[in-house]
Amino acid sequence: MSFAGQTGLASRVGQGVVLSLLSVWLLAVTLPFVWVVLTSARSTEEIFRSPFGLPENFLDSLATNYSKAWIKSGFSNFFLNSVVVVFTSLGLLGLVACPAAYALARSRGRIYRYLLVYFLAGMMVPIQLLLVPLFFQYRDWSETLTAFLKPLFVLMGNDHWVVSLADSQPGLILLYVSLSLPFTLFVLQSFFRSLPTELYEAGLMDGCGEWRVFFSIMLPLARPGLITTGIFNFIGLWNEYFLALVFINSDQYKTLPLGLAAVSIQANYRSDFGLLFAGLVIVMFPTLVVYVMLQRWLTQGITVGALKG
Amino acid sequence: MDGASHFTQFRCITFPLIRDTVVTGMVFLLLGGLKIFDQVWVIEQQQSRPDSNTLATLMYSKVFNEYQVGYGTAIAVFLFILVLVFSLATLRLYRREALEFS
Repeated sequence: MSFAGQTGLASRVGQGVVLSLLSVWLLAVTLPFVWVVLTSARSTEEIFRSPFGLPENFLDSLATNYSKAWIKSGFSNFFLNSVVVVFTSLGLLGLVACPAAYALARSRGRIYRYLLVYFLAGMMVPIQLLLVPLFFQYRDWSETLTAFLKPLFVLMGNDHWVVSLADSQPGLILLYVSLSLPFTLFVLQSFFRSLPTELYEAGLMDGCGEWRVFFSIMLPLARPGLITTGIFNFIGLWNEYFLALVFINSDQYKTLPLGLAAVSIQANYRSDFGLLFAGLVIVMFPTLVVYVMLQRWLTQGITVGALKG
Repeated sequence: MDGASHFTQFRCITFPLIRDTVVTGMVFLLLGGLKIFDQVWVIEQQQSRPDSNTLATLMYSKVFNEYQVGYGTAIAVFLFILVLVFSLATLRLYRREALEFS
């Protein structure tokens, strides 16, 4: 930071104020994290004695808490469910959103403009509004699908099989993909739009087809955008609670936020807070790792998308 | 150059230029606040309580605990209208500012 035009005391004081405000901010952001991680290595009895103390026998409590959370409270299962649901959603999302965003960004014409507005309007609709219709629609679709696939099931000798979209992972994945689509399209299309048209023309001149141009030229160039949307969607879906709460009932399909909420309510009855904090760290850890690893791409991606969008 | 201090510089030049972005950010946060559900629901032990209900938690408990689907949907529509009004207001603001600067 350069304080040009000012010398001496005034700029010193200004700098001091800025620095101290920033340090307060830094502490306010990091301390809760540190507290949660430290507390996950303390026994419940310790936590009750002094909520803000340091761990007394670090390794012991750490091992008990995490093993209890991972094995007894079923966090391994929740973790696996979350990984399956989130990564399948991200994969499908990439498969659908990349070509769609490219087409919307490149095509000229009234229909495409309206299509884009139609997709962006999806960002405004709160999920609460979609909830009840979706719930009934899922029930109806499940019945239709079951009726449709009945001959196949009979052929396989399982005529009692029933397709169910509610309370199943494919149903949840379908929801996640479709509801993340507007935001993803919005960011990606502004990215594709920022790439120069000359590249596209040069590709055509050199004898590439549309698909070849897309895969070999445009997609690699849009990588910062892909990573940005990927991270945002990953964090959003990993922490998604509302839809999972409505559409998942059985324990075997629960994702991490649902599992954590269940454990936190049990923790209030059985007062096992060490376990709860271990669970918190388990939920937090992947997003933290992803964020730190890809942070460089993230800031770069946001600025490019925002400036030229 | 014109003898403006740093604070004046920020107040008179930088802030007006980034005001659009700041307003958009604030509106997004506001919309997020209107739609808040997770935190309230978990802190209240997954129950609906009159003194801590948000629109979203009220809607959820009406539909899935009391099975008053119509009531819940009406709340959701109300929430949607609120969100829509704020979004459209932001859009209009954008358009006006764009005209001013260009």
